[in-house]
Amino acid sequence: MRKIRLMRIALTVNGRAVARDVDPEMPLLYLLSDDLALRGPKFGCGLGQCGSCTVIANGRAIRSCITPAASLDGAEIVTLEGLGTPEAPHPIQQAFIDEQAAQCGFCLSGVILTAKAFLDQKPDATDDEIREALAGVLCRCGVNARMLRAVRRYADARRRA
Amino acid sequence: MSVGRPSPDARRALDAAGLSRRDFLRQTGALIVSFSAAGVAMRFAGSDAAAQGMNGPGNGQLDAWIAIGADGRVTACTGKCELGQGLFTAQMQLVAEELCVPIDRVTLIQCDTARTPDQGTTSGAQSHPANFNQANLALAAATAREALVRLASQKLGVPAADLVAENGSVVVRNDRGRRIGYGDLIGGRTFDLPLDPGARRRHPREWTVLGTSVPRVELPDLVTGRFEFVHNVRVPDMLHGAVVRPPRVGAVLEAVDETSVRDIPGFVRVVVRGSFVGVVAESA
Repeated sequence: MRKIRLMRIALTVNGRAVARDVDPEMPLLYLLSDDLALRGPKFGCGLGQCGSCTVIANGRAIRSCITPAASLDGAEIVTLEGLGTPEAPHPIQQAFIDEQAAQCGFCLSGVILTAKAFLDQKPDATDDEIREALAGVLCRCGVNARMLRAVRRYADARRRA
Repeated sequence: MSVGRPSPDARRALDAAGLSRRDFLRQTGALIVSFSAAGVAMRFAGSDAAAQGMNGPGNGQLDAWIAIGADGRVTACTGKCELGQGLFTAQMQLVAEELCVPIDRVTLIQCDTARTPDQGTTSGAQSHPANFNQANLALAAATAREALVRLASQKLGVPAADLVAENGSVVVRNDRGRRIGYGDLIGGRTFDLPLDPGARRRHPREWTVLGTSVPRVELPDLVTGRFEFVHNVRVPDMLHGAVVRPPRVGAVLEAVDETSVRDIPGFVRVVVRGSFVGVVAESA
């Protein structure tokens, strides 16, 4: 049996300082879901293939189900909860509400956070580039067309702002 | 998956489930059988459909479905869950339509096992007809509307035929200043009525809420990570279980060495039933 040596990490999650002793192999998702009771990042495939566990770490969209928490010591993590609230949603969340761009919503962490991190890097992205950036995020309900409209709406508003 | 005669393990699975091979073929209509496919096909063809149409005890009573507060707000209960099919919002539209109230005066409680009608599983296309058409929630709301009109008829001394329900009140058709709000008619009290199978559903020509495009009620919660999926449910002292999957279907368990995990903090128990192995722990 593998002997576990716990490792002390400190990171910021949605602006809140978090320190934990973690199994070096434990995925970040477990820390977020089980320890911090966050509902945004979801366990989907557990293999980094679907995107439902996506969070933004230091400005980049990453798959928290295959990223060890220990590798993110000192990182700044943002989940859907950290963007906005139902009462005061972030503009990209508002765009998804305006376009009614979800059915079951299980994939939204992947779609919204991947799009946001991408547009933060490339505000003038074309539709094709947005499509490319979101190619690895799965929406099994098939809401893709509405989601692309929502991202476009957000990108346009962001450029005007 | 193999095509042809059912393999021995497929036949054993069918026998274990109490189904003959003929039953299986009749239900699936195809001679495509393997161990795993047999299990899946039987669940979909038989028990699931029955579970979806299930109606628990007490569901024939109006008070199981609809309550009206002193402020005239409508609280409705449903045993069919939102699973991404838009059913939560659609059921709110249904209640608003049949009871003639604006949708923002409707509160819907879904799938709270202590309070809502037992309607079995929600798993697919049957969740919609279960509460629409002339059944259950639709019938409850129509029964409630007709009961409110009867109550208003008694209070106002006007024949029910001359009254109309609109915007949370019952109104005298030819003397529209005379009206009485739902809260004043029944607020905080129970109806004590069975669902009326003959209650009149509002005709699609009369619809003002059903058939219109209403924003999905749960979307703000979904996009901000507040929506509670089943995966997010937490109860006090909850334990977590994980299944230890075999390398292939039909694998037979040889041995379990419990000492290999017993020292892990939070470990509770290893569960072994035949070739099934699960681990229970205090955290996931």
